[in-house]
Amino acid sequence: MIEALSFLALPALACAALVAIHAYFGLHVLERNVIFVDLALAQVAALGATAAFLLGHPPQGLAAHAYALGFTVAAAALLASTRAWSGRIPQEAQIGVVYVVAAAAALLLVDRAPQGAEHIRQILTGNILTVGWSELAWAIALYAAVGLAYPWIARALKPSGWISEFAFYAAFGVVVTSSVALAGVLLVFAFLIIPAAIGVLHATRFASQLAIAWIAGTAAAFVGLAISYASDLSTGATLVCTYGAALAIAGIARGLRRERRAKFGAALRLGRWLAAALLAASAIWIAISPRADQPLLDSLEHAFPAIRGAYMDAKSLAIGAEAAAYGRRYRDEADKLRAREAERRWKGEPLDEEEVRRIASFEKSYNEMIRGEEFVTREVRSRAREAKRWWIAGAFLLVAAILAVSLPAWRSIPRSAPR
Amino acid sequence: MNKTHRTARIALAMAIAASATAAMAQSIAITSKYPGKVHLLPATLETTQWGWFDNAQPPVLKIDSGDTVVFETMMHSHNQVVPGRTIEEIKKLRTDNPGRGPHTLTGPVFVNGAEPGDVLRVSILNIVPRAYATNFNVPGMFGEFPGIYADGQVKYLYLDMDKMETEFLPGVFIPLKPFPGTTGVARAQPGRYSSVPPGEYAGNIDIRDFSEGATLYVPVWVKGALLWTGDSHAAQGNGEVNLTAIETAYKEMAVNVSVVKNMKLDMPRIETPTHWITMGLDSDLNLAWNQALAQTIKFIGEQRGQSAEAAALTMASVSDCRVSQVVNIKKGIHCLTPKDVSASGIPERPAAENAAYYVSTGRDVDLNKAMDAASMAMIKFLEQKKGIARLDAYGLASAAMDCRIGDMSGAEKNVHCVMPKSLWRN
Amino acid sequence: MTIALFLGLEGVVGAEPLRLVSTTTELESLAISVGGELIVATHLIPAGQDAENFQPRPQDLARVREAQAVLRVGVDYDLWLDPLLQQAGNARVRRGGAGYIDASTDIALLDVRAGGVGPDDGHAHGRGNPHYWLDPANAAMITATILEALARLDPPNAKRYEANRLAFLERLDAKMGEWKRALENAPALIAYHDTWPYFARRFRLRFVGIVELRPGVPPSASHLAKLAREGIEARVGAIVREPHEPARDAQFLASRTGARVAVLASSVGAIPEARDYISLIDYDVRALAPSR
Repeated sequence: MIEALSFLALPALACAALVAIHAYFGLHVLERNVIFVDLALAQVAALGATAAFLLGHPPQGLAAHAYALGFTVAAAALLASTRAWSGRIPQEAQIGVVYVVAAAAALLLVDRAPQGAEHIRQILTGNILTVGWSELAWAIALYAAVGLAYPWIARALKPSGWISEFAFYAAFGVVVTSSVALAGVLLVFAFLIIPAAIGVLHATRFASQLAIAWIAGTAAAFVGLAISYASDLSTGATLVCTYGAALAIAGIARGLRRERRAKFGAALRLGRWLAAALLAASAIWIAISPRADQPLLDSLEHAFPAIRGAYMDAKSLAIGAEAAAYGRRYRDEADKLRAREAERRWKGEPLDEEEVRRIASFEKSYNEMIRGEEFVTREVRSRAREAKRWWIAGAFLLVAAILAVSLPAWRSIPRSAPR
Repeated sequence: MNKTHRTARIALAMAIAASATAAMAQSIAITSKYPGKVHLLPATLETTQWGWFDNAQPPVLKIDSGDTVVFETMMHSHNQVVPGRTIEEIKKLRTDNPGRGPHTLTGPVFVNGAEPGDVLRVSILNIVPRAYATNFNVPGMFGEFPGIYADGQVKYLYLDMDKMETEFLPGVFIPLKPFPGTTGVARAQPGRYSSVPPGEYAGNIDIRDFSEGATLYVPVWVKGALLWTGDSHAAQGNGEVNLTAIETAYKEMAVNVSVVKNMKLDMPRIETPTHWITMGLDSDLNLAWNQALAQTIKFIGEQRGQSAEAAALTMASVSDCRVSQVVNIKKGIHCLTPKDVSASGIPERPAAENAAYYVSTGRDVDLNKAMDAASMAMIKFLEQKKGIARLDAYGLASAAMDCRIGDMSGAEKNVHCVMPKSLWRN
Repeated sequence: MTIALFLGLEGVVGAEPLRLVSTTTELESLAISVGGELIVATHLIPAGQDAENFQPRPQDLARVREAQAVLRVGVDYDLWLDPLLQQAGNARVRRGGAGYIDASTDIALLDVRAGGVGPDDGHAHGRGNPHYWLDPANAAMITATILEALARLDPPNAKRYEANRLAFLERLDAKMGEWKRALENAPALIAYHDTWPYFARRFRLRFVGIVELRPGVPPSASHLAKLAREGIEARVGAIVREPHEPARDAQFLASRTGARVAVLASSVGAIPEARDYISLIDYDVRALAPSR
């Protein structure tokens, strides 16, 4: 627990800081309908850093940052200027063009690089897990400065003039350049859009939207970090998925909030019809092509392996179970061999070439035999499905029919109750 | 097979699986339907030898004459050689070790009382393969036609042990007849020898008739004989042209092993319930044929008390000779001679398609070329007339085509490759 | 001109040096150590770029089309070469052709795992770790494979190729002793990617763990925590990263474990000091050797 805290404290603080500034800009981005502007600006910043690198500056030095910033500001000026065309060409399309051109230009520059430059973007792309205190302190200072200064400047400027547009893109560009270096592109996009979207779903005033976005965004980030630690999952990816789930929950919550009964009943009805349609489609699919992947049946079996017993005879089940057991045994033995070889690289007597070849040969044989056992598991199942396809299809259709037909009867209960 | 046998087999297989998890080789003696003391030998790093026969290899198991060994075997794996310093060394190492090896072979088993000059009798009591097998082509390296089939593919097949068949291609079923491609003893010569070429110590003979119920008689060359087995097949054509049979691993292969003291042999022989099999092995198929001829004449002479000339005449009328394989460095021909001395006539060797077989023939002064021509003609036939994809046709020929030696009396030699029409259904 | 064209069409090598194209710089360097003046070697992947994600350029097609030999790493490391070979329509260097050289032939592979994605490996054995050239002893096998191919393509010069290779192996053998001594008491290590198993095996180095287990998937918090814990227990001396791998993650672990960060190159030209194969290994050994 203490170890977890020591590893997650800085990332959690970073998340909170990132949510604070990005939720604010996110609300503006949603309002302006320029959803992917952060990706475009981050790409332009990377182009700037690549150019700096090619000119002989170290990738994370001051010059590189200056180049990245300069390129970003130039792109901000460009976006502010082309806003006027958005009647003919949607702003989102212009942003897309900036993104692909910046990415491609970086590629061409890299191709001219003497060495190792194509990784420069990778170097510029951060990982929230290994964020250091000094860079986080800098970022927080930067966010605070932009967060305080930008609203003040924006209020002072004419609402949709060039300067106000430029100020927005420039301020946002500065933030994004720094945050992508801190947390990576995927995560920054999630921080930008999802908390703001949750705010917009549940409030109408800007201040309330922002408050909801901050609370929901920070909470979701903490939950994501905890899940990543507990389940040993890649932190950035887990956070993004947690954010997606948070948005879905927020959406459902909104659905439940209003005119609860009628809406809920309608949703339930829709759900039942969808389930019935899914079952009917699966029934047809298994009748047509029993050997193909059967998404519904496969996932049902995954959740309840006992279902297999309904259409496989005892012998096929035994063959399948034995194949699974042999597969496990081979996998286990292959792992042991690998571990044994890896240990002998540094400990005890070294293995000679032939022993290494023998182990490789064994690993290959095990891999092949594991594939074979997996093939058997699939094959006996496919054969059983093929033989019993009409029964399975029939069972699916029956459940589908029950779901569809019982609907009026079920609905009549709550209606008759109040009478 | 009856139910008790099945239960006993399952129990045996479980015991093998259980003992295989232990790190060291071990044998568990249990009483069962098998004769003698029964030893289980699971396939692990410690109980297998890889790619080489070496008569100095310490045995992993010691048994007495008359005992039964239940082997577990692994699927084989293509692998590699060691680098040489000079170009000659490098070339030699590569050509001496084409990818057929190294097999992973379970053993060696030391048989108490076996001395050089004795004969080891190895009877296959029972074979239980796993439920899957593969047939593959390794790109551009091995097989009879490496230049033509430079691309690789692997096919997994389900072995239906109730029907004893596997569906090789949709609607094409190959009957199963499991047999170990390699069963052999140590050579007389000290040192390491590749497990690929077969020889007077048996080894990689790939004779498909050495299956359940058959017995191998192999001369013993070193004390204890040192028995090995591997290269487990579920079925194979005579010729094995793409290098692979229906390759599987055996959950269990029970063999009874005994030492025969008063039998003099210079080359291995196989006894089936109905026939005796004699063989010839050489990198040149013509020389392999000469050896098969000499071995068969010698056998018929012993069997019927005939002179060499008379035995040669008898052979021409009763012995059925087939090309076992042409891909193991030393190519092989084996001849089946009926045990029943009153039997006469050779099973039909059709020269053209008939009701039961598709047939291709090759005719050349050089038997190697005749074999290449006949097998290529069959592969082309499968591609063009049966609409089978190139590599599938190569694989099917390897797994099910039966190449027989035809009339050998003239200057030109004949090979007939036949493919049973019964493979195709619907 | 006509004569040159005629010679070119006939594929006569003669006085013309043999044109060999390798995918990586380190294989190019090994090819030169066998071919010497008798071959003109080029590489496709610019020095230090990611071989597995390389995208061929139009010029590369021309390079392959004109080549008499193509030398690749294999083991699914340079899969992009296969479509390029198909497209180039140069039968000499296509898989199975006389000029097709797979340097992984007969290498004793480590960490053979299930799930190879190669287009036509002909079996289902899975793939091993592809960084086999980082074991200098494997250079003997790689150069044997190259020598065999060059002797096949240019038989009159076979003896010279052989002499070149033997001279190279002698230099390598001399270096090997020096390298082994230098790394005798090297501390335990952590690597960013699993690039070093062959290097580790040859020099008896202990790698306690790998930061990014699957390329492109950043580590989880618990994985990093475990690495840090095991790193401290094993008294890790250095966190190994390559120039293109994120500096920050290595620095993070270094500060947690009290180790230093060592920048190693797996490829000739990835850093200026690694000019050829021997100086590549030389550089890596010096970067890891405990300071005295």
